[in-house]
Amino acid sequence: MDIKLLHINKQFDNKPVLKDLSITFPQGRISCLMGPSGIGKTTLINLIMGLEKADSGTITGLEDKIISPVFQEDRLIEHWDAINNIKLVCSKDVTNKIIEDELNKVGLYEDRYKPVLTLSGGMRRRVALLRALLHDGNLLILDEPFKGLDKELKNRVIEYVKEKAKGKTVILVTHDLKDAELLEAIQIRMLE
Amino acid sequence: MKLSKESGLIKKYGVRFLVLFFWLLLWELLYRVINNEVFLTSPMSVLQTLGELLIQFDFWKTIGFSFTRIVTGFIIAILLGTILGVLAYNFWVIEELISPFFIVMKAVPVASFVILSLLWISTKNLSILISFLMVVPIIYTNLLQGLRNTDKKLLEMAKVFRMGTMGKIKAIYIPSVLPYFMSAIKVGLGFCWKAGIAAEVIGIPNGSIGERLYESKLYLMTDELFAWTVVIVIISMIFEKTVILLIDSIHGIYNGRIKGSGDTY
Repeated sequence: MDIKLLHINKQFDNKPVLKDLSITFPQGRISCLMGPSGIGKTTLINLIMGLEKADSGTITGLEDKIISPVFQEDRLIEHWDAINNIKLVCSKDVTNKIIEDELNKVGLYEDRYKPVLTLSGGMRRRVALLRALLHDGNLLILDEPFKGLDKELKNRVIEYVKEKAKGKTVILVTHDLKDAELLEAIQIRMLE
Repeated sequence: MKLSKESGLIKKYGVRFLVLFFWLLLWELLYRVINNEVFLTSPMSVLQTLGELLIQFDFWKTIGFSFTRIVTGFIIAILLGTILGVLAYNFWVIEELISPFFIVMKAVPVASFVILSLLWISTKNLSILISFLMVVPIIYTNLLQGLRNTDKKLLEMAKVFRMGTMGKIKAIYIPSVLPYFMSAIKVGLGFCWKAGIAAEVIGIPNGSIGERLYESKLYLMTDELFAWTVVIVIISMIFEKTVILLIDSIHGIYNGRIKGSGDTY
């Protein structure tokens, strides 16, 4: 089922952030949400995740969805290692062996037992991304998931996301048009 | 490097020994100046009395009596303070309901509590109640504060991922609450001993440290009064160190287990 947002309005402290916004995110496709900073991209995905409530308007198509998010901040359990951070949200079917294999694919195998607080920004981002990708969700909401990754690593991770997200509905927030192109995503631009 | 570390330790303990020696010397000098055994006894007399007490079976029985009761009150306070803190965090009505109780407990002097308690319970169990009453508000307040300071962003993450209650407790709540809980335990330990013994001095239960202190004062046995005070301080310190060591190791095991095993979940 497509996710449809109809005539959404949202304001903070009497300052409108989203004004009569209507967007459709097609089922099973990657949609890239783009636009300048402060336009309300994060507010929009917070509405979909149920972390904010719209002042008016309707959101449909979430009834059958289990959300796997990557937040703007990593939101990891700082003293825990990558494996435990990922296991925390996954079903029992996701074993240590599976997680280790996946960590290897994004270049984190050697650091799998280190507390995430000791990892670099790019490494932490990959842990957060892997946590979402291995979670048993069918709607991936990724807020700038490639932040802090160098070009080569970013391309590798984008390929990995493309592979892992097959068949899932993906809403990805990015500033980089190239990300959208590499992901062969539907581009949705939010304008002022 | 190793040498300088060792010499640092020698210096540290050397200074501590000198400080202790200074205060004992001052005590001895004051004793000689005052020259009145009833008013102020000498450190040597206290040490001698302490030595005599140590070999008596009754001495250990008395310590056992007070220790078990004060510690019982302390443990009940930890359990109930934790339960009430968790309930108050989840249900605001419960917080409203119990907050007057804690406001009153903080304002009322220990002596008033002791005398009131004597109307309700036997003197034998007085120190259990007083130790409990002194510690429970500390545990409750700190625990509630720790829960309230839990990282909201992590709670949002848990909500979106539909994490289970146990996962949230282990990953988010315990790390947030643990520092507040530990600090409450440390403060509570000191309070429960002081208040518990004070209650025994007022209530004079048979076979308690408080009774021995009271008798020492009554019969002007100043050296015994000092010796018992030293005993109370030592027991309190040992108890405090043991509990802190226990909590620290639980904290360490908890973090260590999560850090490296990959087998927590």
